[in-house]
Amino acid sequence: MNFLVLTLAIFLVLLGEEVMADFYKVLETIDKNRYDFVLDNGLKVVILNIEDAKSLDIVIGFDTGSLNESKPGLSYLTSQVLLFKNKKYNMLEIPKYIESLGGVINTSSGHDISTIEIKCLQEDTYDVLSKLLDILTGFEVDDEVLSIVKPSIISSIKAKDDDPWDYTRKVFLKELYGTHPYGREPESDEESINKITPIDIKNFFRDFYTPDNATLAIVGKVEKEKIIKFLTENYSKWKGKKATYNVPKIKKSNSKREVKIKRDLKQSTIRIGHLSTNIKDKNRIKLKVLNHILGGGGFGSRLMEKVREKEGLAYGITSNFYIDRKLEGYFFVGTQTENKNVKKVIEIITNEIKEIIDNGVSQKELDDTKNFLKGSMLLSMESFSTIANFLISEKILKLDKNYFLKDIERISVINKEEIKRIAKEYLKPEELLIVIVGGE
Amino acid sequence: MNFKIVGVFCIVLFFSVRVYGESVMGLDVEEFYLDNGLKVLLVNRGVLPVVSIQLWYKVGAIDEVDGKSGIAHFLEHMAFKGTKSLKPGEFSKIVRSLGGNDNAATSWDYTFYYVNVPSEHTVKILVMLKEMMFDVIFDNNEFEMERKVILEERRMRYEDDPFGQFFEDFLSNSFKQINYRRPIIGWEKDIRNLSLDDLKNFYNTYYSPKNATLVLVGNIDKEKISKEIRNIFSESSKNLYQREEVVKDISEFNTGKVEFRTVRKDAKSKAVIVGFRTPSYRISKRDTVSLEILDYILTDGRGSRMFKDLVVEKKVASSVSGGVMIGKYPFLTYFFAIANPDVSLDNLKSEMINSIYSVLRQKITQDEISIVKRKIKAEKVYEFQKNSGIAWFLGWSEVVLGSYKEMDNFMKLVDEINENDVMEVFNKYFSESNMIVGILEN
Repeated sequence: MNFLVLTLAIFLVLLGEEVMADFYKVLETIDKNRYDFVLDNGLKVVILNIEDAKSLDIVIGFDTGSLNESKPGLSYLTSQVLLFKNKKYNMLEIPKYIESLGGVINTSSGHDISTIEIKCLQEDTYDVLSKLLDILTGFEVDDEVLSIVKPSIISSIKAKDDDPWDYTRKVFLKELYGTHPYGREPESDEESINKITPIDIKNFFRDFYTPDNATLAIVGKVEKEKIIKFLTENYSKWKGKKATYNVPKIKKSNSKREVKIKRDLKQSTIRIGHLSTNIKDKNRIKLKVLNHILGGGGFGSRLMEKVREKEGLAYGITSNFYIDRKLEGYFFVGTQTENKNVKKVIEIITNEIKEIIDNGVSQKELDDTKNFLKGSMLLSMESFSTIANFLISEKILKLDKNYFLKDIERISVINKEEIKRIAKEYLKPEELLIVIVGGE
Repeated sequence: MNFKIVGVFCIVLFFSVRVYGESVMGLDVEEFYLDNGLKVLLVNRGVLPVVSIQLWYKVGAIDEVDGKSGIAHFLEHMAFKGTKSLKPGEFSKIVRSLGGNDNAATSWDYTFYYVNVPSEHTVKILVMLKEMMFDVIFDNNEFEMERKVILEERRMRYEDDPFGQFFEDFLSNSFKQINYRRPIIGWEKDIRNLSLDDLKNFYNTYYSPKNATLVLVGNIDKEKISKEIRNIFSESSKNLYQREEVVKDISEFNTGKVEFRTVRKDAKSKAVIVGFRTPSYRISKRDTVSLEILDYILTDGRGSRMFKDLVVEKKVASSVSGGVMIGKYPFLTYFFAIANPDVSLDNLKSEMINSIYSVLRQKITQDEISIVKRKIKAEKVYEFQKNSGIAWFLGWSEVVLGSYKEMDNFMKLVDEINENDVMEVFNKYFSESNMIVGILEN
């Protein structure tokens, strides 16, 4: 059994016995497999060695997203053209090369963070890291690239509009956040995409895809000394300084209203919610627990019990405090039901929100949820990609070391009185925005 | 421990077992059968203290008869609606309270139930899965409630989703005999007409231990867990049903070109699908693996031929994908493209067909094949990162390929295939009389 595995095994046993005092010793042990350092150019690096692994997940995350863009869709479009053209290579040569090794490379950009993610075999580590550096230092874009990528994004916008669930989210975000970047999907819309020029993209790349704005996470089988030497010698040559940019503020207003959009569909998609808090909120993990009991916990949740199990009104229903983000996130409940049942489903949802505010949760619900969230954390550690993204978020959102892992510690001490208190404080029935997309 | 589960756990019988150890894909797989016929596969991986438990049944939509489509999927829903000791919905609640997650899936060839959970709770999960195998209670109120849920699922996945309806139309146009022509969820009319007795009969026929494979992958003590499995699942069963493993070749190759259109006035997306009827792995192993390699060359990644041709050079498609659908019976190989805005669908259709047939003008090279081989092997490494990935492959190979050991054969064939094999399957299956072409338009 390798070191990390052993550590986690001990970790679980300790939690089972609720010996939280020893929890910190376990974290110390994990830290021995994790190594953080910063290069002279400001690039933050985190490596986590997993001894028996045969593959690696490499993620480079940038502290940028649609929050930083001067034109809607610019951050997303930039992320989508990154792999096409390069000063040193022919069109698409880098991704083709990585794929020819059996690797997988993808890019993405959300509201807060943009990433390049690579999965590769352990033996190709340095080859792949060299190519990643080439992407960052030799990036090019022109009209030819945009003539390929823009139609692709526009088609995916249309496909999302065809999906009632995605389309309802789009309307909901717009109603909730207005013209703020959080009020649109990162890819924005067709009109905005068509206005973006190669110069816009080059400037965005120059301003935000810089070493001092990036975190590189490497998870898998790594030889610590060798990889540090490689990164220091090669990645230190990557130059650039992050531009300053004032992130727009969210205008808060009472969102209580109902928005109906008629479409010729058999079902209506419903999304109900309001603005909420962000990742720095000290009650974040309590909100995760509250949400799990209300609607986030799938078949164990109250809303699933009422709407699907008792009434057969929907295939699924979910809720979430979407708050692991820089600025104010939101709370929502979403479901899809036959058109004639819309009123009834909305009534059940609002009643359940009121019920949990008025009467809180039971000790059994709380205990079951704690166990679920602890187990989920453990199961999520099976995926190197998940771990790498935890590390990226931790650094970019400036959270404490092993922040997400420490959720287990935070969950353990929550009591039901606290859940009742935060339900009252964070659930706001008087502010509910209701969006309905469907027939009748 | 749940009180009612203790009651079930006390029914303990011992049966003799045969035990084999096999190395498959570098995994040390322990295989044994209980006397009631249940096959068990165990893999101990010293990774995190978690386990993936999957129970696979060799039953799915292909086993349904006309007028009863959707019954396998409906039964999968009902398995969660109460057993002798578990109340409706209790299975999932217990799993979650133990820190795990669970679900189930129905396909044409199989139905499987899975639980991912900290390993310390393995026995509790096994007890509940055993109840699902032997003691589902078919309550009429729950049945009617679930019918409503499934109709909502159908509206969501097919009727209100243009791509869902398009794929449903594609399958129904591809075959006349083979039951892959039917949607797994069933036709709406059939779902409305199914009776509780239909489900009971289906359950009593197909959910026999002899027709199932239990797979556990994760941090487990194989010796201890084998003993527990023998105790828990050893209930004797009068039901000896076992799906016939020999596949009759009921192929519908070259039964004529089919063209169809799915019209969705409400949709913004436009797409084209081109499919060819292709053989079952069990009947033509080498052909199936060659087709798999051909599909990778044509559609996988930014280096693929069709991406280069249709997305980068001709700019008629925004994305291209493909797949070899491997089933117990002959199924399909398909290519799918979403049209770029302002591109006519007839243009995309002819460009797609032209792109596929360019293989005749520009032969497959050994270099292309070597890249694909590396990709397939690397993908297995990534998929095997998680216990659930390994368990899925073992279970899927068992029910679809005929044995979990076929995973090794499949990979050996990947090594063996050369450019002549790939050209041979192209010429054999990619004929016009074997083609299905569909257009999604608005």
